[in-house]
Amino acid sequence: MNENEAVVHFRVIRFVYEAGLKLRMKTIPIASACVLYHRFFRENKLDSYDPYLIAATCLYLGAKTEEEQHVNIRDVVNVTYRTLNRDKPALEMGTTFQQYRETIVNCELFLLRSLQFKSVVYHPHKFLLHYLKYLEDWFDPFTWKSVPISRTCWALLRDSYHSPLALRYKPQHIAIAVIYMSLLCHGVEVPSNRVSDSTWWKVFKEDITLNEIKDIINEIVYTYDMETALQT
Amino acid sequence: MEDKSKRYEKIQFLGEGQFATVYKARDEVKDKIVAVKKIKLGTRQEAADGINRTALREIKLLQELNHPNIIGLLDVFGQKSNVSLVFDFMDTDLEIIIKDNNIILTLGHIKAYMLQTLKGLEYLHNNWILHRDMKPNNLLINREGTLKLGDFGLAKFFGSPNRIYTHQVVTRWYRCPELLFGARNYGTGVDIWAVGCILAELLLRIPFLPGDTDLDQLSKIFQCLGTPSKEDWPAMEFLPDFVQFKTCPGTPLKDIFIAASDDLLDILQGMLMMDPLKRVTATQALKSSYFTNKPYATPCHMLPMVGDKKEVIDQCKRSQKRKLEGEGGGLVKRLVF
Repeated sequence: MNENEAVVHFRVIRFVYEAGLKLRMKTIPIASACVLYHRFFRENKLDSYDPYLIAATCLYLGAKTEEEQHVNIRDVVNVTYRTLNRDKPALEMGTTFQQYRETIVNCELFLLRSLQFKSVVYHPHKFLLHYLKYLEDWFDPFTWKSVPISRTCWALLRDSYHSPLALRYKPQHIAIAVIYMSLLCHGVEVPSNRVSDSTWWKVFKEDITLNEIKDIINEIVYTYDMETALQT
Repeated sequence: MEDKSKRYEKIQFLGEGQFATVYKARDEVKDKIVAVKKIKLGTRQEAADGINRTALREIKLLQELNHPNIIGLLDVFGQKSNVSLVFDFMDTDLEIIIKDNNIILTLGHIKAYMLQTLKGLEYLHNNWILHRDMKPNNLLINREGTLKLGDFGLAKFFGSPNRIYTHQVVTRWYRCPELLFGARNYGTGVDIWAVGCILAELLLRIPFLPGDTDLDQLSKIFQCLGTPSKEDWPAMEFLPDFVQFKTCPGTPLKDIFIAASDDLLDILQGMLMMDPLKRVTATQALKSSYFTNKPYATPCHMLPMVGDKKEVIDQCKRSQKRKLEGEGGGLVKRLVF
């Protein structure tokens, strides 16, 4: 993926998060929408499709597969339209609305076919929760309360979906890398890590290497660089 | 994307339900008979909402599952605005077997069906999935006598504490008391209760608790098994739709199932416990002495098979149609193949 494409995807995922939150979707359904989006563009060329249409459809499909019952097609059309056209008045019920709606419905089937109907996504969230619970027990309560380790982890994990990270690494590995990065950011070490026989991450998942952790962290850092570049 | 509709050559129309049409077809590539379930786009409203949630759920869950006693989803393909699911071809289902008066079900046969049903269910529950629509006509059986759980349109992941589930699941006759009392947070017990009803039906050859309405269903359950007391089921009175029923002593199971052995009655009793927390799990049931005692479960290939008894199948279809009409729109029913 070249740099320009990465920037486009970064922008589109930001749109997915904004629209998803406005639709009151929970974390997992939005994350699934992001993964479906990245899966689609792993197989298809960016210049052949409108990424925002694919993104809106992914939101709708993500809401469906993750059993987000309250999200209906009408809200998806209205919210995504409003998010993309901030200066225009809201969409009236009429032909334009019907056209958008039909486009998303048709795109949904196309998306599913393109993904070969594989809509199941495994996320790092449950692993992260699990690992953090362990970590909390290893730390002394004072240190744990004085630095927002978990909060940083969750923020990093959320932001990691801006790149197709989730397609290339195991969910457990992403969860570990996010913790590693959070500890690094706050300058804290896992107690007795230096004197124990095994590093803390090997306890969670045997098959992860320090190099892999660093690769994942590099990729997350790269997305933050992109954000800075967009702002300047 | 290759054109999959050419790969599967239609042989015979098998049936039609609210959501889908099912065909028997030949897989040209693997030279194998399969069942193709074509999801209907249905009403205009549904078409406007895109792919049917039920179908999506079935695809999503079945793609992740692989067990000899769970129906295999072999392929999914879309053409134009349609979605089709390709399944293992199954010759018949347990409802047809039960209703076929030419078939004699021995205790070994019944044990074999229960064993396969519970194995499939144990696998599902271990994977945190509730089937939520266990009934004889969703237990599909092929020519080799293998039984597979089918129809995952209502199935769902469970175990997440903050999710509220609908209680309008499971066909009424197989619905457990906590669902009938409107429980929104339930677990594997709903499937186990249904299996208990199916076991009773295999013994009686008629539905065990055929209620006409939800209330009638509860009174049939209590008349037969006895109204539970506070001690039997402490959480009962806190359920949303709880109503006090008049106290019934119930009939001991051994007086209803006179020919049944003690180990069978034990397992049946365990599956039909009023309190879902006291009901056995699939794993516990599989470990019970019922399965290790004689008579042993009949090997699959020796299980009875329906002939081409058209009248039996027709009769089943008629009664299903009646049930469908009787159900109204509340619980969505789909097709059997």
